[in-house]
Amino acid sequence: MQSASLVVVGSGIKFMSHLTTEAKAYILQSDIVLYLVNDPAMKEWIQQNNKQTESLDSIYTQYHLRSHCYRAITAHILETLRRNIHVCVVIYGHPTVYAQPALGAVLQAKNEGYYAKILPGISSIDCLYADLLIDPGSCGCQSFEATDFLLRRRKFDPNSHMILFQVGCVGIISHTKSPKNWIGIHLLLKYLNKFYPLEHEVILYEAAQYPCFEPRIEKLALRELMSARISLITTLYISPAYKAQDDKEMLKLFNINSNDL
Amino acid sequence: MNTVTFLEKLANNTHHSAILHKLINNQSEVVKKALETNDVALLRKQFASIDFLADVETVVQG
Repeated sequence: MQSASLVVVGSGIKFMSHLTTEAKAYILQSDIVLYLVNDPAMKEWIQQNNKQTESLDSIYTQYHLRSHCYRAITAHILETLRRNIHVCVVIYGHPTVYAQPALGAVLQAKNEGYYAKILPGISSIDCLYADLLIDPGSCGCQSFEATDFLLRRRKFDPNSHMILFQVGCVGIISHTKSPKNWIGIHLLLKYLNKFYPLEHEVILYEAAQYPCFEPRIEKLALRELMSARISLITTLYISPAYKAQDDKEMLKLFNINSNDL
Repeated sequence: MNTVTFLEKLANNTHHSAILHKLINNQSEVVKKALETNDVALLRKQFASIDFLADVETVVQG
C-alpha cells in the first residue's frame, strides 16, 4: 500500500446532494483534506468530518492575478503531498471543469511518481443540461469560458447549443468582488450579435446550490443582456440559431434517409 | 439542529417526503423564508464564513 497519495474530488454544486459516495469516503478517510469550495455549508461539513482540514481560500486571494493564485495552490498541494501522507483535495463542482489548480497538482504528482487521481463531480454544465432539458447530443454543444471566447475569437457553430461560462467577469483576469463590467458584457453582446439576431432567445442560468432550492432560469432576448442581472456564477445558454442542413453527399455515402434521422 | 445538519437532512429526502416538511417547519423563520423565496443569499447569511470564490450574491451587471 502506498504511504502517500493525492486524490482530488468534486463536491458537486448542490450541497451534499451531489457529493458522491467515493468523494465522501476520501474526505472522511484521508490524512488531510484541503478544500477550495464556495459554499460555507460544505466548508463546515468538511471541517466536521475530518480532523485535519485546511482551506485554500487564503492562497486563492493571495495574488492579484487569478493565474498566480492557481499556481500557488498547485504548489501548496504538492508541498502537502511531499509530507508523504494521503491528501484529499475538494474542489467545488467538478474538479477539472473551470478549475485549474488541482489538475496541475495531479499531473505534477504523477510525474513525481505519486499515486494521484481525480474523481468526477457534478458540474454546473451537468445541472444545466438537466434543468434546461437539453441533450447535448441533439445538435452538438459547445462551451467556452467567456473571456477566452472573446480573446481568442473561438470558432463555433451557431446551429449547436452554446454555453458561455463566467460571463459576469468577462475580460477580467484578476479577483473581483463587484466590478462594473458593462464594457465586458457590451463587447460580448456585440460579438454574439455577429452570429445571432438581437431578438434571439438566451437563458441566464444559475444551478441550485442547496437541496429544496430552485435554479435560476431567466429567459430573455439577446438585446436585453446589458440590463440583465448577472452574477459571478451566472452561465449564459444560447439556443441553436437555425437547424443545420444535412450533407447530401454524406447521406448518400452512408445510405441514410434524412427523414430517418 | 444547526443549518449544516439541516441541509444534510434535506439532501436525504425527496420533495414529496413527509419528513422533509417536518424538518422545514422546525427551522427558524429566516431559514423558512429563504426556502419559501428561493433566497440563497439569505440562507448563506446563516453561516459565519466569508465567501472568497464566485458567489451568487455578487451582481456585476444590472
